[in-house]
Amino acid sequence: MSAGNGSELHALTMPKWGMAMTEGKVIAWLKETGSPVKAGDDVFEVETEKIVNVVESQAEGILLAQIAKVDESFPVGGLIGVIGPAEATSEQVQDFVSGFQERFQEFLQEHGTAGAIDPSNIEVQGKSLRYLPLGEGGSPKVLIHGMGSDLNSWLFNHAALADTGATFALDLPGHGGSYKTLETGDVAELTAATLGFLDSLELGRVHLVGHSLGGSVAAQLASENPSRVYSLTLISSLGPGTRVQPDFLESFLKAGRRKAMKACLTRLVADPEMITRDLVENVLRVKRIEGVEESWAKIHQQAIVEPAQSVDGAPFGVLERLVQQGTPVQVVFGAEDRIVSAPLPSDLPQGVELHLIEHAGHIPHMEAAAKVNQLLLEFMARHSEPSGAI
Amino acid sequence: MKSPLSKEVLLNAYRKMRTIRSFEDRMHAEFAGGAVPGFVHLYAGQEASAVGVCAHLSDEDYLAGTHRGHGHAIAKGVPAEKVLLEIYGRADGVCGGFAGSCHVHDTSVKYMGANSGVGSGAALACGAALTAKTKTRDAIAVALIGEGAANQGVVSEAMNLASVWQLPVLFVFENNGYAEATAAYWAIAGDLWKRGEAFGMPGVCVEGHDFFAVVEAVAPLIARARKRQGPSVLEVRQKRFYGHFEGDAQTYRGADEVELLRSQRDCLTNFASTATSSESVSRAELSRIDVQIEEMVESIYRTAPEAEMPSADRLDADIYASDY
Amino acid sequence: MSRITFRQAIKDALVLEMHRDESVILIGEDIAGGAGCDGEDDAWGGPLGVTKGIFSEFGAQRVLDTPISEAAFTGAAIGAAATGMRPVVDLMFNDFIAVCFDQVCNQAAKYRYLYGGQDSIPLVLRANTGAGIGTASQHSQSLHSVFSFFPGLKVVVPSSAYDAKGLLITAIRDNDPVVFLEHKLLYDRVEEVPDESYLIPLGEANILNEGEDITVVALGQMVHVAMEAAENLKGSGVNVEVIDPRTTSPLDEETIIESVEQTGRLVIVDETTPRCNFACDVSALVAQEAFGALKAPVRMVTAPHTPIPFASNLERLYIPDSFRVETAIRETVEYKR
Repeated sequence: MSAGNGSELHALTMPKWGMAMTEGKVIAWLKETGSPVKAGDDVFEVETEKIVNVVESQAEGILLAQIAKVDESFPVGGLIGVIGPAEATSEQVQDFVSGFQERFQEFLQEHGTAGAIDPSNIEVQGKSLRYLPLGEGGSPKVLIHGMGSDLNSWLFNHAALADTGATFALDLPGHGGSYKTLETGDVAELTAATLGFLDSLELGRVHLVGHSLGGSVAAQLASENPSRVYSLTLISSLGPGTRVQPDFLESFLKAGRRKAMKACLTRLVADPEMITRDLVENVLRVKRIEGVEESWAKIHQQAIVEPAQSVDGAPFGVLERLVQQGTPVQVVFGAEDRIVSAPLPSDLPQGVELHLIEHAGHIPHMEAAAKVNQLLLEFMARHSEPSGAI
Repeated sequence: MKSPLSKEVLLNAYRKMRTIRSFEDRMHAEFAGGAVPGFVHLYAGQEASAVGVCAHLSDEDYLAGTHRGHGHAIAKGVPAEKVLLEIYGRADGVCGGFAGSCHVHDTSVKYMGANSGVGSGAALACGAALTAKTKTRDAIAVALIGEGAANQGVVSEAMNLASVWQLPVLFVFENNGYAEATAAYWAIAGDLWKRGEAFGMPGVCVEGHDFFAVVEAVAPLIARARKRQGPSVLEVRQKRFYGHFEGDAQTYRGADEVELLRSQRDCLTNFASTATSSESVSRAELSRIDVQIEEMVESIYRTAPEAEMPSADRLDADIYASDY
Repeated sequence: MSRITFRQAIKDALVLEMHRDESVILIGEDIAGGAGCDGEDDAWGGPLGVTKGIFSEFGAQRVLDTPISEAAFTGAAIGAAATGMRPVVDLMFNDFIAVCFDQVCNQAAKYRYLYGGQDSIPLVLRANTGAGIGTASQHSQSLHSVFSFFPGLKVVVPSSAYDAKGLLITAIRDNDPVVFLEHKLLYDRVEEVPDESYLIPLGEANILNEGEDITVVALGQMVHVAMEAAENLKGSGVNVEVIDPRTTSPLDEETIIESVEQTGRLVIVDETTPRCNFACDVSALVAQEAFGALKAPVRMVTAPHTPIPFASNLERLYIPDSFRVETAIRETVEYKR
C-alpha cells in the first residue's frame, strides 16, 4: 500500500516482515513530529511476536503526523505516520489520512487482514521443495538463502521486492521445508534442484538473488543458463578476492546447544542484539531434525570447502564467464563481515558492481534491509530487459 | 540301568556340584574367620537343583535368581574364581566389585543375577523370556526362586503374566526348608507346585537331593517352553546345610537335623552311588574330579583375598550407558 | 510441519521409533485395549488415548496389553531391556510407581551399576502426572523429584508438543531407564511440530523468555503458569526470564546458574508439596553455586503440604497459579535488606 494519490505526501505504514506477520506494535517513535526525515532514516520501532526492529523512511520530508501512538498495534499495511513537505497544510494531511484509511479498509475487506501467507511445497524431480511466493506480475525474482538458513532469511526483503512483481523465496535441499536427504551436497546438485524449481513453476527468465552459499548456486545456474537470468545479485558470497573464516562453519555444524549456537550466530552480525532467543531456537529446531546435520556436513564439504580450495572452482571462474556472456552481476557485502571478508573492487572482473554496506556483517540483507532492498530494486529495474544476446 | 545321560554330561554335572560344595564349605570357614565382607548366603546341600536344571540349558538360555546365588552362578557357567573375587569385592570380580555375594551376575553366560529383591527374578525372567520368544527359535528363561520369596506378590503377578503372554519361562521354586528363620510349610498356604495350576500351567514336585530326579523331572517342562507351549512350575524340595546367612546361629533347626542331612541326603553322595552303581561313571573318575576341585578351590581362596580392589575413580562409573 | 496436540506428538514419536527399530515395543494396561473382548480391538489406546491406532498398525507382537500387574510387567520390561529389547512401558498414572517401586528404583535404576556395567537398560517408562481434572490424591501427584532422587534413572518433564516429541524420541534411543512424565493438562495443547524425527538432548533447558530482572524456573504445566505471570508483569516493567529445564535428571545446572548470575533473583514454580521437591533441589544448587549473585532470597511457589483434594474449588487452591507466581516475583524484585 503506498500513497498513490499523486500528492507529495507519503504514508509510513506497518511493514510485513516474513510470512507469519499479520500485525505489529509500535514501541517507539524515533523522530518527533515536525522534524526532518531523509530516505533511510530510522523513523519508528516495531515489535512483533518474533522480532524487534526499526523501520526506515523511504521518503524525504518532514514528519507531519504521528498517527500511531506508542504501544498501539496495527495490521500490516496500516497507516503509522505521514511524511511530506513543510508547506503542507493540516487540511491536506487530514484529507490524505482519510483517503488512505478508506482505501485500506476496502483493501482489508477484500483481502482479509494483510494476512499470513503460508509457503507451499512443489515436486521437483520427485522431491519436495518448499517456497514462498509473494506479489505478481513484472519480471520474476528468485531469492536463494545461505547455508543453514531458509526462506525466512528474506524476512525484511521479500515483501518490499514483491511490491514490484512476483518474488519467490526458495528453501534449498537440506534446508527449511524442502527435502532433507542429499546425494553429494555439491553446488551442481543444489543448482539442478533450483533449475528444476524454475522449470516446475514455468519461470522462463528471472532475477536471481543469492546469499552466501545461495550466491554460489545462483552464479552457477546463471553461468550455465544465461538465457534464464535477467540479473544476478550475490550477497556475501565466496568469490575472487574473498577470504573465508574456516572455523565458523565448523563451529556452526558442531553447535548443538543453545549457548554454543548463540555464540556462533553472533559472529554473523555487526550488532549482537540482532541474535534473539527466537532466532537461535529456530536454527536449533531445524538442526535437530534427523538427516539435517548430515546434509549440512555434506554441503559444507562439497559446496563450500572443496570449491574454496580449488583455484578455478565454482565461485572463482564463474564470475569471469558471467561477465563474458553479458549477465549483469552485482556483488554486495557487509563492511564488517567476519565470515567472508569483502573483496576489493580490483579483485572483481570489469563490469561487476561492488557495494559495501556500512555497519553490517555477513547478513547485510537482514542487518541493513532497506539499503539492500534499494540496491536490489534499482539493479533489477535497470536490467529487466534482456541484455546481451545468447 | 545305565543313565541315558552321556558320561560327559554326568561328569560335568558332578564337577559343578563338587565345585559348589567345596566353594561353599570353604566360604563358611573363611567367613567364620572374619575375612569376608557383607552378607553371604550359602547353597551347600542344594546343588542338585541348580545343576540339574542347568544341565538342560545352554548359553542361549537365561537364568534369573535370588540372593542365594553362588550355586546358580557356578551352575550356569560363571567361573568360580570370578564369583569369589566378587564376594571379596575385588576389581576382577564378575561385577567389578560393585555387587558382592548377593548380586553376582554374568551377562556373557546369560546369568541375570542374584538379586536382593528375592522374588524380582521371576519378573525379570519373564522379560528375558519375552526377548527369547521374540528373537530366537527355542531359547528360554528360568527363574530360580526360594520358597519364601514365592510368597511375594511380584511372583504371582509374574506367573499370571507368563501365562497370559504364553512366555517360554520356567519358575523353579527351591524349597530349601526355611525362609530365613521360618519353616517353609508354615509360611506356605497350600502346595507351591500346585500354584501353577491356578495360573493355567503344569506344576511338578521333585526330591531335591537327587540330581537324577531333578534332571528327569525338569526335562518335559523345559521342552514345553522350547516348543512355545507356555510356562511351568517346578518345586524342588531340599534342605540347605548352612544358615540363612553366614553368622546365623540356626537355633530354629532341630538338634541333629544338619548331621542327618549330610549323612542321608547329600546329593553328591547320592550322585556318586547312583552313577557308579549303574556303571555310568567310575569312582576313580569322580575322585579325580574331587582332587582337581580341591586344588582349584584352595588356589582361588589363597589369591582372592589379596586381589586388587576397584580403583577409586570407578565410584561413579557405569551408572548410565548413554551420556548424562 | 503440522499443528498437532501434545497427545498426538507423543504418538508420533512412538510410531516413528517403532518403524525405525523393531525392538521398540509398547507394554501397558489397555495400551491397546479390547484384549479378549467382543468389541473393538484397540479400544482405548491407553487411559488418555495417546496410543490409539498403534495396535492396528503394528499388531500384538509390538503392542502388548497386560493384566493389572505393575510389578510383573515393569519387571518384565526391565528383563526384556537387559536382553535386547527396547520397551516403552505405560504406567498410566505416575502415582502407580508405588506398586512397582522395587522394579523402578531397586531394579531398573541399579541394574547397570550393581552388575558392574555389564548391561544397559534401554527402557522408557511413560506416565501422566499432575492435578487439575479432579482425579484426587492417588491419581494427581507430580513425582518427578522422587524419580530424580535415584541415580541410574533419567527424568523428562516436557511442557509442549514440540518438546514432547523430540524428547521422547531421544528417550527411546537413550540406553538408560528414562521416566517420561506427561502433565494431564498438556495433552490438548496445540503447537507446530515438524513431521520428521528430531532429537532434543536430555539435560538442556529451554529459555522461553529472556529478561534481566528475575529468573523463574518452572516445569511441565507450571511453565505456562510462569509464562502467564511473565506476560502480566511486562506492563509493570519487570522483565522475567523463564527457564524450562525440560529434564530434572540430568539437570541443566549451567543455564540456571548463568541466568541467576545475570538477574540475581530466582523464583521456582513446582506443582508439588514443599518438602524434598525439585524447587528445593534448585534452591540448594543456586545457594551453593551463585550465592554471591543473589539480591534476594530464593522463593519457591509450590502446592501446600497436603494430598490433592477432590473438590474443584479446593483443587484450584492446591495448584500454583499465575497470581501467586506474580506475587512471588514482585516481592522478590522489591526485596531490600
